[in-house]
Amino acid sequence: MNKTNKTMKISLFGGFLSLALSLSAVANGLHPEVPILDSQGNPVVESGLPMSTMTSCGGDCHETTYIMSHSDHADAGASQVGRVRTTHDWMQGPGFFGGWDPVAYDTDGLLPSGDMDHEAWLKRYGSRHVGGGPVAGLVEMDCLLCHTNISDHSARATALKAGDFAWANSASLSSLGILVKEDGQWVWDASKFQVNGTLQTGLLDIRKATDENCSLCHGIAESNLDYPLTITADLDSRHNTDRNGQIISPQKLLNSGLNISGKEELNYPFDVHTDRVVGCVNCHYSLNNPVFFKQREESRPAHLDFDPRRLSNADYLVRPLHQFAKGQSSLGLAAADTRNSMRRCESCHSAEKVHDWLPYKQRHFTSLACESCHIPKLFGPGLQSVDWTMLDSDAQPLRRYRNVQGDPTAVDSLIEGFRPLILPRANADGDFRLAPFNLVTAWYWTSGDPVVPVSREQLEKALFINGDFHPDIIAALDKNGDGQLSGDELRLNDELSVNAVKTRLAASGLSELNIRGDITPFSINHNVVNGQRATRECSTCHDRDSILAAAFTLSDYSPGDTQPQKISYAGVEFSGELINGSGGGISFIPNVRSAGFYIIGLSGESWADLVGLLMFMGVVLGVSGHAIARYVSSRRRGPVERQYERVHMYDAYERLWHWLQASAIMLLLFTGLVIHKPHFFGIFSFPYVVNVHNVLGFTLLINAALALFYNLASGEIRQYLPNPKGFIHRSLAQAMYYSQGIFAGKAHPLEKSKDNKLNPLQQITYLAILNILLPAQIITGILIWGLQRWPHIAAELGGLPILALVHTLVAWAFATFIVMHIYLTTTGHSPTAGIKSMVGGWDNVEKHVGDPVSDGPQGESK
Amino acid sequence: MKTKKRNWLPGVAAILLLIGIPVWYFTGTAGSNLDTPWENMPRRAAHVDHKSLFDGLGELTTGPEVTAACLSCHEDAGEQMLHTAHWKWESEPVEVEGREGLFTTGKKKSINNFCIGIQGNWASCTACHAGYGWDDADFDFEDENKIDCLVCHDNSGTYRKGKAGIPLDGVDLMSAAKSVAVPTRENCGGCHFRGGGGNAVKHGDLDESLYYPTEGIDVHMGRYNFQCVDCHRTENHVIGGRSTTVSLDNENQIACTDCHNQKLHSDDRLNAHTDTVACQVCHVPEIAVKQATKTHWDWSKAGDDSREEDTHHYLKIKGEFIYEKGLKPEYRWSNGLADRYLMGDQINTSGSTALNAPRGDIRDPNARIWPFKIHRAKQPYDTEYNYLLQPVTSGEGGYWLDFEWDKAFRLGEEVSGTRYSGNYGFTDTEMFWPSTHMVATKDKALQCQACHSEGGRMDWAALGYDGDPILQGSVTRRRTTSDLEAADHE
Repeated sequence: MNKTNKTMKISLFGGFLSLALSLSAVANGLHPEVPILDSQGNPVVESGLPMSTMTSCGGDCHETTYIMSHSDHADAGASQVGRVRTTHDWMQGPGFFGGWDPVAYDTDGLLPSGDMDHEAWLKRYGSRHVGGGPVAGLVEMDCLLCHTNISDHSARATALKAGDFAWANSASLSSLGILVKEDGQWVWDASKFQVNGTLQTGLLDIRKATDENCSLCHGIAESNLDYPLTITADLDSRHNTDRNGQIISPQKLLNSGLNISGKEELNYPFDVHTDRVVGCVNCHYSLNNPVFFKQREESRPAHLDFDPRRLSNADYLVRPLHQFAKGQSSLGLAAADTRNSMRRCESCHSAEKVHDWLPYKQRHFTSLACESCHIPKLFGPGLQSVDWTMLDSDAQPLRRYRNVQGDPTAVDSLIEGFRPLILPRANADGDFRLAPFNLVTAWYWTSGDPVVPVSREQLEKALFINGDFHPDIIAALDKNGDGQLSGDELRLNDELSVNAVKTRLAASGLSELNIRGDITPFSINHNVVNGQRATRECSTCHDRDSILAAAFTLSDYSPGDTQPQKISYAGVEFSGELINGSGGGISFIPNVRSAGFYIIGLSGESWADLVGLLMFMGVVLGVSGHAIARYVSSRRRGPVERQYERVHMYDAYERLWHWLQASAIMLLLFTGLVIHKPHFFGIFSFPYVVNVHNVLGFTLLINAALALFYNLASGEIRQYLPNPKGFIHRSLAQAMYYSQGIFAGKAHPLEKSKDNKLNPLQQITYLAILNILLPAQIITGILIWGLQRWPHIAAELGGLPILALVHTLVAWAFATFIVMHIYLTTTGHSPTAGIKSMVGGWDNVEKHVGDPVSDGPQGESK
Repeated sequence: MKTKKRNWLPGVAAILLLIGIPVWYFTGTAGSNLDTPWENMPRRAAHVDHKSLFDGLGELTTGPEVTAACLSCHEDAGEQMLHTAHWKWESEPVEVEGREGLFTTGKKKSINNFCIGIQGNWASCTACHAGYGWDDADFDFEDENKIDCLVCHDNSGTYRKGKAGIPLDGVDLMSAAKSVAVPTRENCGGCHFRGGGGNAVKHGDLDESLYYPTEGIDVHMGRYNFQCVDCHRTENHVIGGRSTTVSLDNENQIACTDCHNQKLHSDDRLNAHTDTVACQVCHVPEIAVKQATKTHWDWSKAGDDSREEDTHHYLKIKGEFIYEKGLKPEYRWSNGLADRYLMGDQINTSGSTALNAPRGDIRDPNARIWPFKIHRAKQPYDTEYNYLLQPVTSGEGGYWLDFEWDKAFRLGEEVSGTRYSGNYGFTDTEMFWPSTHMVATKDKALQCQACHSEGGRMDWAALGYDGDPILQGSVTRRRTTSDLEAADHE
């Protein structure tokens, strides 16, 4: 089966190759013809020895020893071996060399002694390694991989697998017919060479790395618009896509050869940067490339925006660093020295200029990585889980791809695409921002002490006999009795099957067998979409059903009921919890709140709303009861005669600021409710309502400030300050009036006049409102609004969790107050008298004749 | 103190303003590039059913009788038609840059690299004339009754014309007359889809697949059922639109921007292209979408009895051809005018002669890069006088009957007045046919990589650029277009 895939791949590549070759005549052509030399410095066409890239490319032109010692690809984490703490004890280093990846799984090369078996490692991983570095003694660093237009390196992979290390690098040239195999021996075809040992002109194009070169290892990158993109069956070359679902191609999704659900609507490219002719090396440039070099911020003096001093091109070509600008994904090469050397989105894009539609954009930029919104969905087949506890009939683990039904290489497998999980990720400056990830859960057996994973060979040996499953395995796992193991039968989700496999493994001599599960987060940074297609809907996050709190499927089942563990890499906050669904599935529920992210519309404290609602409903019920009682008692009592005097109670300005305040507060309460519970008010545009709320907040602030000034300047403020003399007595009298007197038709205890408008209870209430509640609301409001400008002040006071809580509680208090306030205006001489007077200014005041209680500052006692 | 009723009104107004104005001001959204193409569509006249309008006008048995009946009500129509290019097959005299005096050109006397010319071949060519009976040089172009109204206005689908434009036997002229309405794609296409001797031969972007196209062939005609006259606005029988294949001037031209806003893309980067690249470049990514068009015509191979005949490869009367489908246009600068070859002009003796080389270059602010179907042919020329010859082909004694080139040219000399020395040869020519129909749906518009990549569609050097402008920039063009912007602001 592998052979046919290879043949298909070769013929496909052959097609592309001829295309590439025909194009290469137009391409670069700048590189001089160099003789192909062996390691002794003699032309290979004379000596018949393998090509030495270090010698051919080195010498006067490129200092190959320097390049190799400054190459993250060659080093592959070897320099980190034994120096960095690894996630598992059996790993010797964090990187590709010496590391262990639960998804690819093989432990080839990892020796229990702590050393590495270079040959074993090369045989398994060599095809995905550039050579040199730790294995320099066996395979040289292979310049041909990245710097030529050769697209078919399968011969190199074959040679490495077979242990033919000497000829591995040269084998790539066989795809151009320069090297041929005769009787099992590699022979150079002299007709492809010129006399001096160089190749015929135009045969090989030597130039900088293009996307095609990078895609040899780093995942699918089909850059041809005319050939519909398909998924290759070769897992090794899908390495990156498998882990994060990224396909780097300028092709439009609807033109691709993938069976994507709803494809006709997807009129946009897989990756917008590739579409705009941005190549891999435009962002992942060599760190001393004079074109892209930019001094680090930390070492740049404040007065200098741009340092024009440059390495000359000649110097660069001789000693080009092969450490490339990169982000800070800790996986793979583990090139720790160059973490975050890459300029990020903001180095090229000015987010400030094009996010005017986004309220609180600064706040978003400090909390979210650009990718969170600009990589909304991935359509490449990304893994969901890999189950190495059991193998299928092709000796492959059980791979489950996220939102792909069936094998992704099959043309009829439906691909739904998936939304990445958003987790906090550390930036270069140490701040955490929410960024997209894919989680891959891998299950595997471990054995022995010290614990090591059971290797693939050991698994195969235990499970298979003479190419078929061992009868014990079939007996335990074959649920439908057809003698074959397929589909769900391969899952070890019951005691019987687990034990069957365990027994077989133990029979091979392994002991202390356990099943482990690793959940590994893989960072997603490519497949960016154009701004118009990015996440723009606020309710995606600011809602009860926010994606920041939505369950992310990990696995449909768990072998042996094992709870997987989160493998946290430096810089990823794996905050959230695992929940077991019915039917054995496991999901991950992220909890960004615990990582310090308060999301309006999602993170609210529900008890605050409960308290507020109780308060509000309580008052509503109270005033309803009171009103009914008043009505009933007045009917029984009959009308009461009283004398009234017409007084111009409220000035024009007073009325204006009162009603402006009232309108602003009502609208603020309403818009605030929409912001607080966006789920119930989906009909409104969240960003618009947020903006309106902010505008009204400032209107309220200005209005209140001006009113305060007016009251102070005119002396009206005196009305709000209670006269301490007999205050308690008067308050009680007022309270008695409301609870008793009003029903009996008694006169109002306060003789209201222009200089004495507020009864004692009112004075208390307004004191509290105007000095405690209103300031609290305004201050919390300003700080919430000003989270972008003064984040430290907000943080001092507890940040959004405290500010939002106070703001919510006070809002409920205001709502309650309004109910009370409006009701109490009906306690005047007629139910609408109060409101009318605040509108028109005129009030009919009761004249108290001989009432000993009327005792206000200017009241007359007769 | 007065207690006026409604003294609260000013207060309410004040409150509304104090709340409303800040909210409106601070929550306004930025304006976007509005494209309102439907508002710019020409209005069609309301249809009047002519079923009962021919009573009392007698039996209509000939074309001119129908025309007379039409003109009895539509009195001005005749006069209007007499001045149009569809009738005269010739333009008004115009000035041509690089030539002295005024020139007219048109199918009547011009030369192309398809069937070459109509002179002497009138009877077969004028089957597509909007008139009746033009079978020789003495056709009366002032006779209104010879105008053919039905060819454009018939909506019965039964009207067919034969030699000299006479309706074929069996056509029920009365029912055709009664069916008249605004011209449809069937009317226009009946001639314009079949130019060059058959379906899909000539234009590349006009063929019979446009009678009932899907939106995948042409979005305007397919999705929105646009008729030709929706873009080719017509007033008083003067139809808008020009093609440099036959016209010398650029008046009364139509353009995408007649309806669409030029800077309508939401992506600024795309809007930056519209000063340099014609809309059609990206929006007509391929022509001859469904039906192959002729791209090569070698007259020199004609006359061979031994070859098997096939409309798409070889015909004895015409020679050898190449047809292509799904054709990618070629790209040239064009400012709407061309260097049109007129009969008697010298050919290019050191290469191919362009019969209508588009004018304009990278420094011309009026020029844009346009997509063209380039038709390459080998056609006869006079080896002594070094100009192209127009043979009589379908006419009496012509090449298609007697297969003698010399005789064909002599007869041609008689009708065209261009001297023939007696010595002929075949030379390479090319004609540029702008691609503007078969507009694709916007999801099929070209992506960046289609031009800006190795193997892309643009030949940068030929267009006058230093290299791919993404990498090299283009100082020349940038200066030209900023002049344009400056001019806009004046």
